[in-house]
Amino acid sequence: MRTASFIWYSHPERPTVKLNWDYDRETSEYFILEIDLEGSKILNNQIVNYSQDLIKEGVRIPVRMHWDDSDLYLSISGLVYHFRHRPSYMDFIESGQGDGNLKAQMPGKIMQINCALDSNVERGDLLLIMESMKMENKILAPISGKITELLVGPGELVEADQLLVSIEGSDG
Amino acid sequence: MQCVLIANRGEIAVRIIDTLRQLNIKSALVVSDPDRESLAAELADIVVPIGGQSALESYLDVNKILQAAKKVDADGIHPGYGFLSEKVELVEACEQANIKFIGPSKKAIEIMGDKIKSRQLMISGNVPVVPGFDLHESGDIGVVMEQARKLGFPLMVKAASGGGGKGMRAVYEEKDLNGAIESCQREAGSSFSDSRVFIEKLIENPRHIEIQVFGDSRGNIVHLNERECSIQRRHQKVIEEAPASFDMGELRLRMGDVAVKAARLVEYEGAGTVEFIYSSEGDFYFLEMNTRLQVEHPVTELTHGVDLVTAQIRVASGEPLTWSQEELRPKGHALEVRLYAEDPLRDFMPTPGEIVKLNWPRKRDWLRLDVGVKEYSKISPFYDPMIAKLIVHADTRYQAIDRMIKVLGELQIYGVITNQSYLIEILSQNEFQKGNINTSFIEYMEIEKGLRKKLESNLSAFLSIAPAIHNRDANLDTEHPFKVGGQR
Repeated sequence: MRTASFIWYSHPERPTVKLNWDYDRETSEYFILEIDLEGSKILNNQIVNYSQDLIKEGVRIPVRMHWDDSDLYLSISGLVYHFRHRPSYMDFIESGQGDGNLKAQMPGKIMQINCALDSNVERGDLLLIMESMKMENKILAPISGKITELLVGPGELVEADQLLVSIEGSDG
Repeated sequence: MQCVLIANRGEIAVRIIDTLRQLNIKSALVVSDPDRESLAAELADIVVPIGGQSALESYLDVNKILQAAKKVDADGIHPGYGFLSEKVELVEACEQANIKFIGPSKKAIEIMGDKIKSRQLMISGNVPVVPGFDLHESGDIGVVMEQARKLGFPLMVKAASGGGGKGMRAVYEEKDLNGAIESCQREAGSSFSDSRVFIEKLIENPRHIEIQVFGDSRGNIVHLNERECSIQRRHQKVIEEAPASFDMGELRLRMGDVAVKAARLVEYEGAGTVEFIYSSEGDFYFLEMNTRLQVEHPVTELTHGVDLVTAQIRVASGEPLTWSQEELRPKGHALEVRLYAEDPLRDFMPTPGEIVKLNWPRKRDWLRLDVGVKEYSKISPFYDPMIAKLIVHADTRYQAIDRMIKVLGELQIYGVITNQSYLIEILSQNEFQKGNINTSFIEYMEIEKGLRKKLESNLSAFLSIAPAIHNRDANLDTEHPFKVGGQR
C-alpha cells in the first residue's frame, strides 16, 4: 500500500481540492482517506457532486467528482479514477493521534474482539475488527494504556459516533 | 408509412426513433428481457417485448421480429446495423408478409455478403480489387502455392462469409500458408457455416476509406463522399471522420465514381457503404460493401447536412432521391468516437454493470450525442458493449479534435469502466492530429501502454505535466491540458 497526498491549488479565486489517498498496486484500487473540498471536509456517506473547471497556470482542466456511498469517482480531463472509501478512523488511528476514546466513525458490525477489560495495551495493538462498507477494518489502539471501558461485543451492530473502547493513557 | 418496427436496440434504436418522430411515423420497438427498461424503450411509441436474453433468442430471431411487426401492423422494418440488417432471411420474411424491409434488395445483400461472389462481380465491372485468387479454382495445394508465389508474400487468407475481423489470417512466409488456409477454413466453417476461403495480397498499413452511397428504387445512385475509419483496434473501428484526415484531392471524385459503379452492379437501393483500402502507394481497392446504415453514418450527416434515416424511409416508400451529385459536398470536418463499456487496461474486457452516474457534456450546436443509455442503465453482458457515440463538427480537423477532447473531458460516466480515457489518449497523439494514421496506428503507437503510464502515475504528477504539454500558442479554443497543434 502506498500513501500519497495530493494537494491541488487552483486559481486563487477558485476552491482548493485536497485529496489524501492510498493506492494499492496489487489490486489497482484507490482508497480515499480524506477529501477537503472548498475547505469543508467530506466524510462518511455524504453524497457530493462536484463539477468545476479548475485553472492551473492558465489552463482550464475539467474536474468532475461524484461521491456515492463507499465509492468516489474523480475525472480529471476525462481520466477517471475510482476510489473506494476507507473509513476515516483508520487514518485517524494509524496516525496515532487522538485520545483514548475510540468511536465508530460509521455504522458497522463488530466482527471480533481482541482485547479485554482492565488489560494493558500498547499503541498499535489490535483491539477489534469491525466490518463497515463491506470492508474489514482492524481497529488499533491509538495510545498505550489500560482498557477502562469495553462497550461492544462480537456480532454487535454499532452506529456512527458510538463509543467502542476507552483507554486510559499510561503516561497521562 | 404509418408505423415502422425497429429490429434493434441501444443508440441506433434511439436514433431511428428520433427521425421517425420528426416524420410523424409511429415507432415500434422490439425489446428483449434485459432491454425492457432501456432508453429506447422509454422513447418508442410502442414497445413489443419479445422475451429472450441473448441476441439469438431475441434480436436475431426472424420469427419473433415478424410476429412483432404484424402485431403492431407495421408498414416497414428498420433493421439498424448488426443483428439481422444483412440477413436475407429477414428480407424474405418481409416479402412474404408484405412488409417493407428498409434496406436493399435480397440480391444485393446476398452478393455483397459473399466476398468471393462480390469480388468476381467487381472484377467483371472494372472495380479495382486487391490482387488475389479464389481457392475454389483449385483444390490442389501445389497449384495454390504456385499462385501464391506468383502473387508474392505477405498474403491474406480470408473467408468468403467473414467479417468484423473474423475469418482472416495474415501469412508472411510460404511455409505458413497451408496451415493458415486450413485453420481459416475451420474457423469459417464453425463461425459462418461456410468454409470457402480466398487469398489476397496483404496490403500493409493501409488507410480505411469508405464511401457512403445511396440509391432509390428508380435506379438513381449518388455518393456522399468519403469517411476515414483508419483508427481501428483488431478490425473494430474506434474513431471515424469525414472527410478523410489527408487531402484527398481528385481521389475523392475517382473513389466516389467507383463506389457508385460498384453499387450499380447490384442495383443498390437505400443507404450503403463501399469500403476501400487505400495503400501507402496511393492505390485503392474494393474491400467490401456494407448493405446497411453504418455505425459511423453521423459524420457524413454532419458534413453534408442530411438525415440518412429520413432518406432511407423516403426511398423505401418509393420516393425518388432529391439530392443531385453536384450538391453533395462535405462542409467542415466531423469526428466520431465510439464509447464502449470496456476496460482498456484489462484487454478491453467488456464491463457489464450499472451506470451510477451519467452526465453528458453540456449542449453545443456542434456536438451530437447518439446515446443508448441513461443513468442507472444496466449494461448487459449479452450484447455489444457500445453505449454511445460522440460526434463533433467544426470548420477544420484540428478544431474538431480539440472539441472532442474537450467534451470527453467533461463526460462523467461512472459505475462501469469505459474507453473514455483511451479515446482521449488517441486523440492526443501528435501523429493522429497530423493525420499520419493507418489501420495499424493503435497497435503501433502502443496506446494502452501510454494510457497505463498516465493513469498509474499519481494524480499530482499528472497535473504537473499537464501545463507543459499544453500549447499556449495554439490559436484554438483549447481549454484542456492536451496539446492540439501541428501544422496549420
